[in-house]
Amino acid sequence: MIQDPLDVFADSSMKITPSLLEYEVGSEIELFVYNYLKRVSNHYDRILFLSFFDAYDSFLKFLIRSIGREKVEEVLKRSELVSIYPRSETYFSMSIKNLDYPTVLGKLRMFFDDLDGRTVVITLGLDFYSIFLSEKSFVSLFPRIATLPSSYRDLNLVIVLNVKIFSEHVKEIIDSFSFNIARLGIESVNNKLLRYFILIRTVHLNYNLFKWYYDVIGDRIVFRSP
Amino acid sequence: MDIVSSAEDVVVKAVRNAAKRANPGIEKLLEIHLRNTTNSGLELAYRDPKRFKECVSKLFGEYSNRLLEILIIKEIKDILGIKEEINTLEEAVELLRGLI
Repeated sequence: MIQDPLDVFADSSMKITPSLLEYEVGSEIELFVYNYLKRVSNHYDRILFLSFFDAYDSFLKFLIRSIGREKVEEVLKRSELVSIYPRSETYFSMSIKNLDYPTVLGKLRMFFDDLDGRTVVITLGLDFYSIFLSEKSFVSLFPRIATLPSSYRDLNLVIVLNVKIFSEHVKEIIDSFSFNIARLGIESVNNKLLRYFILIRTVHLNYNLFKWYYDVIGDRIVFRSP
Repeated sequence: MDIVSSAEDVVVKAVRNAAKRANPGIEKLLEIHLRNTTNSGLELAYRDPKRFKECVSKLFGEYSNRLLEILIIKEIKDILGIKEEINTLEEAVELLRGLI
């Protein structure tokens, strides 16, 4: 049952894929992804993280520090990690050391070929990939990752990106390959942070383009009415 | 300008540019947070990069902290025109201390 805008996004992400979660610095993206997974994980046999440049490590560290290992492990108990160019991540199911997009894609496809059951794939750090390499490299890789679900049944994809760092041209590419989009942002009012959530594009048309402010209380996201 | 302050200037400029690229609104917030919690400004990124990262992480979260760190490293590399692989702010500051 839909109770809040994250439910709308979660439900929509299970109906169309890929999904894009745009975040801004300070929007507590870690807790958003955690709460998203809390809502959808029962619908899947596996959560798979694709992590570029140790993005998952940052994600996990913050969650454990903020809400405790027990709560995190409860939600992520059926998760696996594919780590692309890891330095600190060591607990992966597969790592990819070469950053050329054909190699990354080829190895991902090999890994996905062996998956069975329903899988939700959370992609972290593609924005890091763009900064470390270049927008050109990102533009080569992003559409190919975004279209992976078309080759695999029972695979839903959520891409987490800070879209602000990209040029307008690349933003258009990102937008055109994303079917389900939500944006997390911040506003600075009297030197305090206000966090907001906008559903940009979902299957639930009545909710699209509404803006909700939210607070993080413990491990929960609490929305205020639009 | 002495040697230390010019290397510090490079890092402060890199932090400002990185913050603007990530979100222009966060630069002032970050400065206020650093002043309130450490009595330092953006120069903390050069003087104590580990503590700077801890402060950013507390304010914005670890994931955003990592994004900012990568943007700062990219800015430092662009300012100095260097190609070395650098993965952390600490490595970048260490390299900078050797170069300038």
